[in-house]
Amino acid sequence: MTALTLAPVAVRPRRPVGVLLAGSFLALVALAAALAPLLAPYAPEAIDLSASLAGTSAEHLLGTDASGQDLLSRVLYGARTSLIAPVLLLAVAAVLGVTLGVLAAWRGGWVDAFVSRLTDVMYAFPGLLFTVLIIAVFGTGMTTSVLALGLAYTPTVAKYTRSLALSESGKPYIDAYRVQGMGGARICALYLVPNLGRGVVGYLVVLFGEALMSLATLSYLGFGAQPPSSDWGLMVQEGQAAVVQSALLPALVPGTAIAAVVVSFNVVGVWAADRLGRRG
Amino acid sequence: MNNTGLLVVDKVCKSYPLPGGGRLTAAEDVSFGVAPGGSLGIVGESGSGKTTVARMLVGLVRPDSGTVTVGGTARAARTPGRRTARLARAREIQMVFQDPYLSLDPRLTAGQCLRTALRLHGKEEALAGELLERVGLGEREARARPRQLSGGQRQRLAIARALAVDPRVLVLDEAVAALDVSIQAQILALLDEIRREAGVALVFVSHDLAVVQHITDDVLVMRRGRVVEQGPTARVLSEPSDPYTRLLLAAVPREGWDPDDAVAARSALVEATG
Amino acid sequence: MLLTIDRLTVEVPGTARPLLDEVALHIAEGEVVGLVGESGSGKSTTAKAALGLLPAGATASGSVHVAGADVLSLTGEELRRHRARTVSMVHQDPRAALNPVRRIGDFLLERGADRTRAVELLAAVGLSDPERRMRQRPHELSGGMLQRVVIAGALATPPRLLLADEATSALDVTTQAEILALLRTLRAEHGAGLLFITHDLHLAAAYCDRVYVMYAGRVVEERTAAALFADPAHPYTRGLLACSPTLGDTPRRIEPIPGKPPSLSDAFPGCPFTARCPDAQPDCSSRHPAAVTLPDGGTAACHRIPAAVPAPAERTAP
Repeated sequence: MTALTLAPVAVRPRRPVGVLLAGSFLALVALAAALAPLLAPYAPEAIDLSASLAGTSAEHLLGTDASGQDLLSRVLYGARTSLIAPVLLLAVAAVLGVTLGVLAAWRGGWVDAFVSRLTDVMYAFPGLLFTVLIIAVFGTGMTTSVLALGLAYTPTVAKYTRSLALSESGKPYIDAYRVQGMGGARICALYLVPNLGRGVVGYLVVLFGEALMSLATLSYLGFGAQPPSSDWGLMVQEGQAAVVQSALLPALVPGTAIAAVVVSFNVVGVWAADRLGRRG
Repeated sequence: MNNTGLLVVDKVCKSYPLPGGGRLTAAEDVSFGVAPGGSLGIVGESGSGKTTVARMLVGLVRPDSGTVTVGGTARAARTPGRRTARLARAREIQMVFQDPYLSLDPRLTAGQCLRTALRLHGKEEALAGELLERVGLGEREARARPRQLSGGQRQRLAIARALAVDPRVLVLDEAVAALDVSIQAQILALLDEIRREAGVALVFVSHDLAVVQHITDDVLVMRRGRVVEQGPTARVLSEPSDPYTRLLLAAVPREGWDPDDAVAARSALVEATG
Repeated sequence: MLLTIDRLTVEVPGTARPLLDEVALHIAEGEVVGLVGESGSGKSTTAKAALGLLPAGATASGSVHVAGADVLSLTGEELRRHRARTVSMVHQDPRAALNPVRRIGDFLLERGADRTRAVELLAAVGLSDPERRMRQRPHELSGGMLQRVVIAGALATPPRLLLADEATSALDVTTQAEILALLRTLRAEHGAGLLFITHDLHLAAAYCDRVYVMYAGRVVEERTAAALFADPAHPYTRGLLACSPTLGDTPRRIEPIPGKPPSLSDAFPGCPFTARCPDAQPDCSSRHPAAVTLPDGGTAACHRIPAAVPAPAERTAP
């Protein structure tokens, strides 16, 4: 008679420490953005020329910029636009991309060919160039930037959704709806799309960091958020001039904020997409 | 048996283009009829075209030629665009699929699944309870999603969903193949009951000759898209006239069975027909 | 005795009952033994135990001996040799055993056949044009052909014990017959033992010498195939026979077994079949039935069978 115990093998992959760290950091940032009016020591646009380019001190924990605006306050308020704008952008891309992707997968034939060629053409353009082109036509500003980038992200979402929808619509439960006599539009809207939800959301989470970065870039280039906004990308651009006066904080503070949030989102995003993808 | 009865299939054909040119014949000149409350089996091995025929019946595959008639009215080859026409067409023939897990929407509970079908056809949603009871599912199952149901319960639900539409013909594509033996017997008993009580005609697509003998009156043996033999099940399975039918029968394990007999029958068939 | 499993109990955390509960099973050299039961009955777990493969986190008691070796205590190189040489397993899905990017020939060469022998093996399992098959990849072959390749792989170094886990269930009946004929030559030529796992009672009865019937992780009946068919002793076996449709001149009613096969979250203080059993008595659900020896030498675990002689736990020594 033999008795033995095999070492227990973890059935579920453990949540890595990095994901936990990144996740808590993002939660903290979101909280800080929500509570900005309570947490910020100054109004973000309050100009105090007497305190121009001050270093860290008790009054200004992260120093000030050239106009003497408190950087901590600006970065806290800036978190709001910097987090909300990518969500709106992705919402635009999701609505358009999912519609196109599902349409292409469901109708097949020339519709699929048309949508696929369209996305290919858009892929061929560098995203930023395409966006700048739209902004050149419709003018600068945050709303135009969000819409333009939303359009620029549509092809990748459409392509991804199309492949998901192709495999999902081949499942017999979709056939069963057709056999029941249900119309194609209704099957897609009410039953196919909700079943793609997990996969698409996972993909969007991964895209979030990139979207935030793209928006910051537009603002940095002067196409996106306009002064006196506290958008992080804009803040980096404004702080750049101070670097030659050996004041690093005005560019460093928003730059670090962008980098930290983007990296955290990528860490969490990849983990979430993996989980959502596996379950879905 | 042709040209009489509730469901009449007349010379349907379907072929698919092959990548290297030429065409693959999935079904060629398949004709049969099923009376109200009758039961027809379609047997054959994988690639015989039996599933293609099943899918042509419900309109998931469009035949190249030939007609499917239910109660004297020919079904259009394309799914009609008009809602009323589409629903009327759905009430003619319903289908139960092989994989009871993939054929149910993973997001809907059993109750929601049935109510969706009932609502679509303008029926009382309260009928869902009766339908569940009819297939032997209870309150607890009504609130469960497919992943919380066992294989047999899922297939009962799929049958209930087909019945929700109140069809005249029910097509079952390998509907009991994935189930445990004891559960398979329960589902077969349920189908028998539905057929007797509601007069629903069954088209039972299966590779399992024993099951087909049990549940059908007539049978169609298919090989490589062609019907090689058809007639009353009892006659075809006891005095098969086609060598392929004989091979299929020889391959079914039973008392005193020797797999070598089937191997010999196969070589004989290959020599005779290629 | 080639394979002896003695009172094997396998438990994993988080289930209400053991996966296997005091399973005893043996296979002699050259014997074809069937293992029949519905999903979750423990058939595959039993077969994998012969490979020394237990589920993750499992606790096992009892013993598994293959050709004299205590499988559950093998480690490292010995265990690897055991799995490579002594025992081979063929699963329902041949694709799981084949690397999709490697050629069929590589699969056989990895298993210790040289080129000439590999071609011979492919011809022996009935594949046409074996030279060409050697260069093909798995996606170019059908399921039935791949299952032949896997069996050719098992023949490359003929195992003493072959475990076939629903190896033919996904195949067409005519292909199934050919694979079964092939497996039988393995026994005839090499004296290998075969554990044949199937859900199809009629197939087991037609193909095997002896059959074990499992239910909820327990062996409920063990008989010669002929006796199992002619005179099933356990109510579950009778139920299975009565509910499987058979081909024959006189169609008979099939009698479904009520209820459903037990899941791992069902615990049984007594006989696990009680709830579905037509012969159940009140005391059936309170204590486990011991296996009793039947007049013909088989065993069955049922309270309703008059216990002439309680079966010894291990009837045969290795």
